[in-house]
Amino acid sequence: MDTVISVENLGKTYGQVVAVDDVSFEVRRGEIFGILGSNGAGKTTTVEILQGLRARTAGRVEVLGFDPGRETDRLRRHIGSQLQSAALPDRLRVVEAIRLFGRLHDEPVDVNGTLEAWELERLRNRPFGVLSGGERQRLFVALALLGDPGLVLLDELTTGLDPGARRATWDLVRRVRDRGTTVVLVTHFMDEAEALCDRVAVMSRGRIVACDSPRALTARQGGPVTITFGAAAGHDPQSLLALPEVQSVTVDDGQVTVAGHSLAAAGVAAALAEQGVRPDDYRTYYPSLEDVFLALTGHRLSEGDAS
Amino acid sequence: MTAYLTWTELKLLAREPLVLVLSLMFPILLMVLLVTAFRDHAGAVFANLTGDVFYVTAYLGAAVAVMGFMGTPTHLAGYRESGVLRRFRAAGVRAPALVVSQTAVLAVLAIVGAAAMIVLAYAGFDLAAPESIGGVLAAFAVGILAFAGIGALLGSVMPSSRAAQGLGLLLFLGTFLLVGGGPPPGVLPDLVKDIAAWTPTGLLIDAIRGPWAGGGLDWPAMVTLALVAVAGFTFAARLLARG
Repeated sequence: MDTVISVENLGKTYGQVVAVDDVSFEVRRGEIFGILGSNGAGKTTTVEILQGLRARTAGRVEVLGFDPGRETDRLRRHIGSQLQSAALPDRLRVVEAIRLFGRLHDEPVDVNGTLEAWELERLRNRPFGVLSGGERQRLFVALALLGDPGLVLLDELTTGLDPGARRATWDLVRRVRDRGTTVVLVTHFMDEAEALCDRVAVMSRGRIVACDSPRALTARQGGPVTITFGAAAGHDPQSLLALPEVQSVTVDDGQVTVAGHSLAAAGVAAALAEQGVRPDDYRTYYPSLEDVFLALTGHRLSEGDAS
Repeated sequence: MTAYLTWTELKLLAREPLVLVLSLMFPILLMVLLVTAFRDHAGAVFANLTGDVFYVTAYLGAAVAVMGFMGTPTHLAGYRESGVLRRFRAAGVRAPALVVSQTAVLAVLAIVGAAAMIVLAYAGFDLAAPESIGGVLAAFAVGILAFAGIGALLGSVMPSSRAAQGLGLLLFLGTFLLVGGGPPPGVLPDLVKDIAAWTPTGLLIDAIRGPWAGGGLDWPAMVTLALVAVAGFTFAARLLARG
């Protein structure tokens, strides 16, 4: 089975409020699948339905062959999960948390191996309440992976972490995938989705507005590649319009801006070199997922998604 | 899993000795004060008991009631507030395991509190032994189950630990002060007395006093407390399973 999660026409309403509206997607074995959107877009509701923490009001959902609404207990033994705004008792020690959650699996878990694998040995007897944000997330990832689940769901893993801890947490996620575990990653950080995900579903107001690899999304939806450099004496920048990959050339206050599709950066550089122009401030701007998000939803990710 | 969760909860409790001391100190101190003041009194106003038996039995009930109304609900609501319950639920910790572990914690706290009271009463005030130790133990045990059920139920509906604490204080003082924690119920109006006697706190204290004073088991109180326990556990387990 190559499809780990299959969601068809999923809907969730709270009275009159529509939280998730006609959402369909598939997650394939071994990939990091991102669900990207701003606060209130319906991301967390969607993953909570996937693990049976919430009941859906419409649609069909299958996770590892189980229906999360009916076969919740059986499903939970096969998935690992890290939840947004979840915690452990403050005085529970790291090693005790691993032992406690290890008891939920049929096979005994290797407590020392787990501590070692996630660099938690030093924190072994540290109570949860005094762990830093990054240490907590490391523990949660370790707990989610107890019993070697085929699928882990990670919800806002890096929210509230400093940049160093975020990078370290990204490495954790890559390690999880490298073990062969399928990862569903919920995030409202564009750079996180871009750096980690094999495919991304962009959610806005309860709907999925696009779903593809970050590269394909930016190539299709992200707008042109932009190149800027300082104008050189005796050189006519408009000559670059002759290149098929260039769409427009503008000159403003001695600054040349060239827009074109993805091959323009190399083409313009080659043409300039041929024309004997060697600017020392040649810069290229590729469209990012942020541009894709803006184009698809009409608002920036940081602006929220209140409907 | 249930056994390990219970063991873990007891370890966590032992790491917070202040909680233990603070929650038990108030009833113990009040008991000592009231027994000192009324040990030589007796009669109809003290439910035909001596003043010391009247207050010791009342405060044995209080040791259980304060945990069921305040301790367990505050603890569980705190778990909900901080996301511990969500974490447990997502990992597949079953609601009955949670209820059993909380019952064990309540039982340990109530037993420690009651033991401290008994030791103080015997050593300091020469209290006479109960007529039926087995009957008193049975009443105490049913009381622990009833209040564990109440505690789990309150904890499963209260949104925050502060709310749980507020409501718990109201329920505890509201019932306990009317059934012997404060003025002897003999001096209260009949209607108030009758209603208070059917609160869980009133039932528990009656259930303890019956065998203590040689009146045998108070079956209506025992059966009602058992029903309270069953109802509390059933509803709490359902509510906790749904989050």
